[in-house]
Amino acid sequence: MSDAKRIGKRLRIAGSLLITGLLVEAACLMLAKPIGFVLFVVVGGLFLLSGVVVYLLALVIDTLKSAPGPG
Amino acid sequence: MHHPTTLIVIFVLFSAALIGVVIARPEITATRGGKILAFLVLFFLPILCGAMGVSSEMNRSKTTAFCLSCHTMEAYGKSLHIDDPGHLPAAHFQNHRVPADEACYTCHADYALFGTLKVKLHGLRHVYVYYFGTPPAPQEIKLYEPFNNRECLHCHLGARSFEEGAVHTADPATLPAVKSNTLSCMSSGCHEIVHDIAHLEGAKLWKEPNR
Repeated sequence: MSDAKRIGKRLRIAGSLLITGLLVEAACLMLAKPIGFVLFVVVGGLFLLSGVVVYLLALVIDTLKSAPGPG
Repeated sequence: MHHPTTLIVIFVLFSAALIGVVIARPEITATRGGKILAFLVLFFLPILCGAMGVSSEMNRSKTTAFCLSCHTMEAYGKSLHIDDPGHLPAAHFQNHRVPADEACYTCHADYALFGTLKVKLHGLRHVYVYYFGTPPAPQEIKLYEPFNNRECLHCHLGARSFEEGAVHTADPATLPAVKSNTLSCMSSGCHEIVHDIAHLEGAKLWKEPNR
């Protein structure tokens, strides 16, 4: 698999997690119930955090791979 | 749904759509401009959405309607409508001595440092017990610790009716004791009738006018 495809795959994973998190958060905001508050923080927050972490990891890995090696 | 919440929901959905565009065409991240766009869409926007959502949810969790949406709290909500000026929470709610929209939170917030965080953590525990545990009967619900006068003094300290009230000044030791929390505002013979839900049956209720 080429580097472009590999980073594309990581971006898709990050994006999917983020979209799921955002949809959960939107649903919870519309719910207006105490359970919505918990789902917003726990489920939505977890998806968002995972998505951001996967994206940042993809950036770091991409940067490390494209950096010139020693010598 | 309040207008600010609707706007946040629209913004969240718009952000999700933008993320969809980026992951549908990841090749755009090959250019410098694409990388910046991806950073904004995949990092900045989700964090912004999360922060706005948390702020909205925190504000909503302070509302009286939010607290009373749990079945267990119904009796406490009803006690706010008792037609009796000697009933402390009812008198505060009906005369807007506390904001009617945030009646529960105003009195039950911990006005110390990190108080909001503390009561929110308690609230999370309440939601957990309500949905996944066995919620206690309304009359069995107790405060975590005796009600601190600090919560009353947050508003009443310095007020003329409090500082110069005939009963408060009859004994010079009363006010210092109240202010130092050694004599509770809810002591027997003082403002002792608080959420008397055991005697709700048959109590005359005040009907809130439509606003």
